[in-house]
Amino acid sequence: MESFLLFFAFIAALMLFLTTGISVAVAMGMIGVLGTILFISPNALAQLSSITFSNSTSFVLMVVPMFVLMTEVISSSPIGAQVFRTTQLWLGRFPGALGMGTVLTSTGFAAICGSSPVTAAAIGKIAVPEMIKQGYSQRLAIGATAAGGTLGILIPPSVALILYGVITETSIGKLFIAGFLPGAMIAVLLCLTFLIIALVKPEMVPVTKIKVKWSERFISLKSVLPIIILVIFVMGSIYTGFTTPTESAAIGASTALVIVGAMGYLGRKNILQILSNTVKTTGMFLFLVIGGVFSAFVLNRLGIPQSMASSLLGLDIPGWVIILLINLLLLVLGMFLDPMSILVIVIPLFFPTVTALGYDPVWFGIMVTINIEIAAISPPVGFNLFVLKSVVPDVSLGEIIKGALIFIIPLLIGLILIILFPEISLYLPNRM
Amino acid sequence: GSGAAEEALTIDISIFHTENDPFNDIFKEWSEAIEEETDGRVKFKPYYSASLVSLFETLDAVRDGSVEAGILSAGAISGQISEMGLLETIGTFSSEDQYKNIYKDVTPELESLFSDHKVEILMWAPGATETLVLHKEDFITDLGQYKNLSMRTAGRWQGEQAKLLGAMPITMDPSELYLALQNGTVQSTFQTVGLTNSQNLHEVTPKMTALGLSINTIQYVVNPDVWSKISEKDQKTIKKISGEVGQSSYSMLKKREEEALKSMAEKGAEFYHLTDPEREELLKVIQPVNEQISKESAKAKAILEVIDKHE
Amino acid sequence: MPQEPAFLAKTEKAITKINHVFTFAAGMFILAMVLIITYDVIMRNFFDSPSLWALDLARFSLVYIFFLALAPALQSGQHVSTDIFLAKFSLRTQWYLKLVALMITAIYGVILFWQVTETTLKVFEDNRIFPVAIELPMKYVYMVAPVGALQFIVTAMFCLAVVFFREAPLRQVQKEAIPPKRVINQ
Ligand code: NA
Ligand code: NA
Repeated sequence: MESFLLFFAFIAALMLFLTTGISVAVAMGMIGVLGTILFISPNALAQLSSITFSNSTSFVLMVVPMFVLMTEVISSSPIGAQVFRTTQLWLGRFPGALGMGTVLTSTGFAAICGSSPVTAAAIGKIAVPEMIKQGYSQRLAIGATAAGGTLGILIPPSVALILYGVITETSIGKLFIAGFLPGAMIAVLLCLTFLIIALVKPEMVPVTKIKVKWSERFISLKSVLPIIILVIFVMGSIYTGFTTPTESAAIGASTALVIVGAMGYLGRKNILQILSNTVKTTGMFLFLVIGGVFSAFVLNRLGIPQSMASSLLGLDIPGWVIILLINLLLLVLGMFLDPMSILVIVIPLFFPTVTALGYDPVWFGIMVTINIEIAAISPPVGFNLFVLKSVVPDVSLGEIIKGALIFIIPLLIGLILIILFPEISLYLPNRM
Repeated sequence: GSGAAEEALTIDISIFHTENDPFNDIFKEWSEAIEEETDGRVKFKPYYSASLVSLFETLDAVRDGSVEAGILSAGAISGQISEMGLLETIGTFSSEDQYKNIYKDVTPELESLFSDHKVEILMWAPGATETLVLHKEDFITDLGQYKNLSMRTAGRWQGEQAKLLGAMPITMDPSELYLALQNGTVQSTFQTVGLTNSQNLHEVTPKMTALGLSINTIQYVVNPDVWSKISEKDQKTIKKISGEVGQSSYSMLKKREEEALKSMAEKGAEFYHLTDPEREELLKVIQPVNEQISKESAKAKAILEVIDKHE
Repeated sequence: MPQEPAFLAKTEKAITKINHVFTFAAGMFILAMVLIITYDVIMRNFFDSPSLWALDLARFSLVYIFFLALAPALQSGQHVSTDIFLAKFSLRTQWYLKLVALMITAIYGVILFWQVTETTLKVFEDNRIFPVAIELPMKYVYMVAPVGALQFIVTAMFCLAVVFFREAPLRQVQKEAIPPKRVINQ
């Protein structure tokens, strides 16, 4: 019971800090500071320094500045706009086409990037301004990008699946293959969301009614070429073994620099602006991760998630109820903790019980991954939301959250389908 | 007989490995024995999978008290405690007898070394009793095969050893190893049996050459202030248990490694065990790295002498 | 309303200038990171000569990038906050809350500065090296931390002064006199 009280105290403190309008990174960091002083020992504040240095020398976070640079370079040129224009020329009269295009672009980027907020930042920077320009509601534009970003950790390569595989000793290869169908399914669900909104509330999703000549359509394809080259270089370098996924971020950034430079869009002023944006987004990103990890450290050190989990597992109830309760707990924790902390802290506690009940570890991994996808966009603490707030600064966080809430629905439906039909995740890996 | 020493003391210990890891047999045996023989006065509460602090932060965290105790690996701390390089390299020991002899003589050296670095070392154990060289298509039996072989290596000294073999050592995050071996970003790697099994690397590199050599070691450390809260009598008990478990850790690990090898073989992995002459030849090439490490301090020299004595 | 002291404008110039320099330096580190890895990938795949230093060197530049970015990101309002609750209060209360928020930010900066400085002094003292293939002393990487954290504190205090002197809730007439440039977007 004490653990539940402490958890509520944590939530209350976080809310209190956020009320002042303080930055989320500082709010979470201060919760870490206060928790450490009150419950552990002032000496343990040294943990803040350890966490800061270990995250700022982390392989996983190294891709942040490089992928952000790649995106900033592309979005400083008209390439993004041209690609969206092409999408519109081809699919313009189909309801919700541009939104679906954004979801599919996220799906494609997810196949090269293992991180959910990085995917959201990359696509958001380019897609959101375009969608708003085309008359999409801000809420919808942002919500779709936040949710599309979560595909980054479901479609391989995925940092989350690797971590799950190592913690639970489940085959990472199988997990990767298992992620494909659920990833595609969620992409389809996100697209369907657009279709439904387009049919029910057409004012939120405008449809252009212009007549376009086929020749114009084909000419427009030329503008997609730079993006195709970029995709070939980045994906090709991973799948031919030229680079690891981390290194591919550098290939992405240099290829983008070369392409945009060759097209003549890289003036001195322009490049300074690109670098400045990249620097600030990176600083924001890491500061947020450090605050989040520090507050998670305190919760973990006090054993809060652990005892919440064990009191749940102590109940004498049937297996499917346990699965249901695990999902509920993950959703609640997901509101406040960062996805990676949830994986590392909670999974080892549930995994033995779940497998003892006869559930498949690969299936459980996919289920957990979708849960932490939802965590990434569920308020009040959602990394994808914060990252989008930072790359699309003119939109308020409240608006972003409202947008994300719309797209949590398809993710929840996806989660339910995965739970009810384990074959969606197990069909491919069982045929390996 | 009254006071703090009589109260139960629960010590949080940060553990980098998972709960299912072969290493956990060692931890369980050790912590259960301590709880039992101190009549429940001292307990260790595990935090697995580096959920408390990462492996690389553990030494600092234990020293400054943000974590009360922790398990380290020599490879993770040899940058701070250069002498530990000697217990990080491949081939420090190759049999149980040799390990036990080294354990007995090296432990006092480590105790004074770690107390210089303001932590109390309780026990240490092999990182693995068997090192595998992984490859997609070939067993790496001949030293010539290392020439220009791209190998993922961990830490400073493994990279040096790979270079001595003529290989091209490459750095990458452990989380990328599976994909890198699958896609051919690297052709090979040195790996412990436990990690090969838990990361399912046999799926991508089924040809495994077993060197019959140790790789890396792990250390159990505790914060000195926490340690001083334990009564002298219980401290003695803990040290005694640590000595026994530390000595028997080799065979515990070996047993689990054999199970892992068997399970990987069932899933299609193939093994080649180096012959004694092949192993000797390999050692001749990779061992000079120890001379290099021992130049860094007088203590390193002393430790190397102890290790060499038991060759 | 509080009268704006003369030093504020001067300080503003100096702090903005320093943050520009920091941003530029961090930008160069990002470019270096990309180029180092790209170079290594090319050398490894086409010339059979991988390096043991490239990836780690790139990785350690992240420390420079982060600490140099910390203060500029604060000044330009990049650190994300939420205005959901704030909007519900009166302008005066909002002003007080903003001041509180910046004070807490400065305090957090002080704690961060204090902790990273202790670590940095420690690595200077024992001259330790990273547990990686290159023999790189940690002090050369960590030394940027106190510098970046200090500039973060200075920037937070400056923002506090700006909010105190320039953003106090005013009567409608005076409000128009405020320069449209938003210095702070906390
Ligand atoms: Na991905
Ligand atoms: Na959340």
